[in-house]
Parts: sequence; C-alpha cells; structure tokens
Amino acid sequence: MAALHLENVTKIYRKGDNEVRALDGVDLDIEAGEFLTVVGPSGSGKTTLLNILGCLDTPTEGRMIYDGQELRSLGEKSLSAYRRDRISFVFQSYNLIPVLTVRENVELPLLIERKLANGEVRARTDEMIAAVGLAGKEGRFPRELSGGQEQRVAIARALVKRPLVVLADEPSANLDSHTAEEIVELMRKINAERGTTFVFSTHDRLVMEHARRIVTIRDGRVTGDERK
Amino acid sequence: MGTLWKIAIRNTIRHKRRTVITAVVMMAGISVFILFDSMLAGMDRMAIDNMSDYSLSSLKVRTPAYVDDITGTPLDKSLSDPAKALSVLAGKGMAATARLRFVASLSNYNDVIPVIADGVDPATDAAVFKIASSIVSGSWLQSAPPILGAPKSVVMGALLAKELGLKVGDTVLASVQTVDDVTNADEYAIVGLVQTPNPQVNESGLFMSLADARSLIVAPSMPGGFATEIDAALPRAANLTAAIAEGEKAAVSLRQALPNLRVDSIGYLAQDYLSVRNAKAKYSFVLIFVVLFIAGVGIVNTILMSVFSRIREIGVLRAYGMTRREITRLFTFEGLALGLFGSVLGVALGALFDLFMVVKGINIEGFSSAMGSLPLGGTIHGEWNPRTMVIGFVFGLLVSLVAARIPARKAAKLEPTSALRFQ
Repeated sequence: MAALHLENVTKIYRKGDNEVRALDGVDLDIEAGEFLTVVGPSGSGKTTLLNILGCLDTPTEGRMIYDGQELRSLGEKSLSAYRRDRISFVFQSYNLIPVLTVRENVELPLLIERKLANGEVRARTDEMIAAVGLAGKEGRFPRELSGGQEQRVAIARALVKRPLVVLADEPSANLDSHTAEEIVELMRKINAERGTTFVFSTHDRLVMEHARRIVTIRDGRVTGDERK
Repeated sequence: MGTLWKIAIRNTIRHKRRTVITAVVMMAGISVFILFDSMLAGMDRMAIDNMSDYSLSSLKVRTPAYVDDITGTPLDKSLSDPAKALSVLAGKGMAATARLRFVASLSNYNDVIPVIADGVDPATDAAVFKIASSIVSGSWLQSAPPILGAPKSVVMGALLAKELGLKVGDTVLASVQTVDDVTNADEYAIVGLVQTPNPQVNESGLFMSLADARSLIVAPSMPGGFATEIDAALPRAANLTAAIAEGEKAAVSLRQALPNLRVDSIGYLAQDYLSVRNAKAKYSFVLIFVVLFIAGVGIVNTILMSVFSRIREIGVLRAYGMTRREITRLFTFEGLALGLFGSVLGVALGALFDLFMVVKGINIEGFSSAMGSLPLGGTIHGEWNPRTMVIGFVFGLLVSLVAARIPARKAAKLEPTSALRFQ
C-alpha cells in the first residue's frame, strides 16, 4: 500500500457566490522513498495539493489515507498531531525562526514532538547539521548565514524528526543556480541514503531533472504522471 | 515549554525599542504605586504622630456623658476623680496626664477670638504631648506654684498670637462660661508661643496651668482634682494599622480597669482624619489602576505588533505541529516576559523612590496651605512596605498576562496556510 494515498480529492474555495475548484478529483499514490515533483503553471493547484498532502488543509471531498490511516475526518488538533509526528516542510523563503540559532532551529521539531530525551535530541540534531554540511555553525543565527546555508538549516530541520514525507514548496526559488544545485543534490543524497520521501512543487528545471517522478497538474487536475 | 520561553524571551530582547517603551510604562506605573504607598504610609505616620503628640494623645479617658455631648465641651460632665484614673494608668506603666479642656474667648482688648483652651499639668504634660518642646518664642508654663500677685501665664499658638497682634510679654483677657454657666474672665501674661505641625494648635491653641484653668472656670473643689480628660501615651507603633490595633488593645485593658469611664483609642479619636485618608488612598489606587491600564494597552499593542511581524513564523510553527494552545502560550509568555521585565524595573525604581523617601523625605512646609486642616507639616518620610512591592510586582504580571491573552489568541486563530502565504 502507498505511503500517501489521495482518492478523488477535491478542494473548493468559496468566496461569496463564487466557487473556485483548486483541486478537482485528484487521485495520487506516493510510495515511501519517492523523489517526486509537482509541476504546473501558477494557479494550477500545486500549493493546494501540497497543503493537503501536508495536512495543513483538508479536502472538500475525497479520501486521504496516510500510512494506512484515513485523515479526512480528523479534526484540527489531530491534524496538528499528525503533522508533528509524520510530516516536515521546506519553504521557499526558508522560514527559520530568527531568534533561534542553527542548532535551536534544527532541534525545534523534536522539541515540539517531545518524544526524545535531551541527549538523543542533541545527538540527532548534531547528526543532521553535519549531514547538511553545517557542522561548526551550530551557534550562528539565521541572519549570519547565506541563503544556501539557511536552506540547508531548513532541510536539516525538516529531516531531524525522520518524517514520513518532506514537502518542499519551491525550495530552490530564492537561490542562485549553483546553490540551488547544491541544495537539490543534498536532498537527492538524503533521499538515496535515508529513503526519506520528498515531494516538491517547482518551476525549476533543475529540480525536475533530479526528480524520479513528475506529476503535472493543471486546473486542479492531474494531467501527467511521468516516472523516470 | 522551555523552547516557548526561549523564543518569547529572545523576541522581547530582539525588539528592544518596543520592549523598552512597554517596560518603561509598566515601570512608571508600578514605581509610582510604590512611591504613593510609601508617601501615604509616611503621611499616616506623620498625621497619627502629630495628632498623638499635639492634640489627641494615644488614649483618652473621659466620662461617657462628656463624650456624648462633646461638641458642647460640657464642663459639668468632667471627670470627678482624675487622680484615681491617673493612678490606674500609672499602674499599667502608661505615661499619662490630666487636662481640662474648655472653650474661651480671647481678647487683645480690641478683637475677640474663640479658642480651645487646655488646662495642663506642666509637670506631666510633656510625658504625653510635645507642646512644651514646640516653643518658638518665650518659654513653657512653669510647674512651680505661681508667685503670689504675679500675673497668671498662658502659652498660645503662634498663628493665634499673630492674628491678634500679640507677642510674648503681652497681656490677654480670657473669658469663659464657668461650670455653673456664669461668665468669668481673667488676665494672663503670654509667656510662650508654640508652632506645631498641627494647624489647630497653632491657630486656636491656648494653654494654661490646670490650677489657673480650674480657677477660671470656677471648678468645684474635689479631692481628686477636676479635669475633662486623662491623656495617655503609648509606645510608637510600626505603622498606622499597628498603631490603631495596639491603641485598641490598650483601651480594652483600661476599660476593664475603669468600668465607669469611657476609654477611646486613636482609631476612634482620629476617625475624621482616617476617613479623609481612606478616601485619598482610594483616589491613589484609581490613579495607579489608570497607569497600569495604560501599560496593559501598551502590552496588547506590543504583542499585536509582534504577532503581525511574525505571522509566517506562526505558520511554520503550526506546520511543524504546534497546537493553537501552544501558539497562545508562546505569545502569552512573551507578554509575561515583558511584564516580568517591566515589573522588576518598576519594583527596583519604586524601591529607589522608597529609599529616598525613607532616608531624605519630602519637605511639605511649602504646601501647608494645601494640607488644610490635616495635621501635616515638616518633612514627610516614607515607610518601607515590602507587601506593596509584592502587590505591584504581581499586579504588573497579572496585567501583562491578561493583556497578552488578547493578541495571543488572535495569533492562535491564524490558519497555517494563510500564515505561510502572508507576505
């Protein structure tokens, strides 16, 4: 069974009398360890799809089954708990907490999760910081880092709790091409070594080239699903 | 919880300007509260001391009938055996003196002014009152029997003397209604003028020896003497509340020993002042409440600014599984951190104000007209009150806690998807 299973997922936004179908009957299975990009023009529903995959939003219709569990019927609190335990995010503009150091930003999901002892939190954090090549910069604040380094911290933060899936919304959009390549390489490496599932939304050809599966979405419908 | 505090405290440090502005408003509110309380306690102390030392004493023993008709200063309801009451007080180790109070008309042979006259025992009065040590011109009454044929002497309030254009050495005429309600008058030489912190004494006080007073009002000859009241002094209490409590305790013990007499402590004697004081204390609390309310609005504003500047951060925290309750806590902690900072500074500044008030005090001589008939004058010294500091500190924290809840709940209501999209 797929790690993430979407079945006839529809998301309708209503504004007054107007109705916008951001997603329209999306069926999608994502296996564990996939490195998948969602592509499509602006307004096609990529971000809505990622929000629903990330349990940040709930579908108007359809089923979401993650790791064998139906999620659509869950309330806000349960979805928060599910996100906390299984899902991580990498954002286009990194979104690090500016008042926390590199180490504190990376360990944040573990502290929110509150499952590990202090020693294990520290060990896991050090391991991830080293894995993204930022060993020695643990005490720095985000303002003291370059854009590429900030995105590395964001990736370490996303991976530290060993999530079911990492959702990345345009992760290379704010980076120069060289740094973007480094970041995508890093995620590809982590995907290969650790088997972490990555789902991206992107316009970046580089990300698309590295992807092993490209899902194309247009007007809220999946119009292409290409596996390499 | 530790992470939430860490983020909250670092955010308050990061936004220095708004943190400092909010903390300064809180600091002002709390420190003024502590200062006011110290001043009020100091004014209470001064007022009670002045009333005890210059007019009321700490305890008064009178006949119940005299007290019931107090406005008429009924001489026929005086103590018939003050010596016995004095011996009871002496037995309890209390310093006490007898006084004969009556209303007189004082004339400089041109103008007449009504005064409250006191016949005092020059030998024992200083053990209870400080009138004798407040002479600004001349001397206090002699305790030795007067020389035959020499003029009788009085001491009067300096303002009263000024009003009548009199000075030490001048002669005045005092006229009274005697015990038998007959008019009587006599001449007195002014031997001293007094200036006390009690305006009543300065403006209308007239003192003569008990013997002269008895002679003027034609008091009946009684073996135990004749006086309207026995006044007693008690050891100085730590504050107003203690003075009232200890006075009442002493009064209760005296009432048992003097069952036919009325014993009143300072809490009853100073009731007019205390009611004015309580009203003033209420006004000062209203003022403090207004200042801290403004500080509360400042905190709401500061936390709201913090929320709006960190909407995306809220989105990230929510995306990583932080619940609405934890987001509420995060911003509540930020408000508490602000409140803690402002309260600590407020208590520290308040303690400095207090230190100044206790050590140096404020001279209110220039404001004596504004004090009206309140027995205040000279330098007001503050009183240490750790309880007020604790109240100020806790109140500051509570205000910040309540104020922070409003924007904190607003932050928690943000949808993660909207927060993450926020530019």
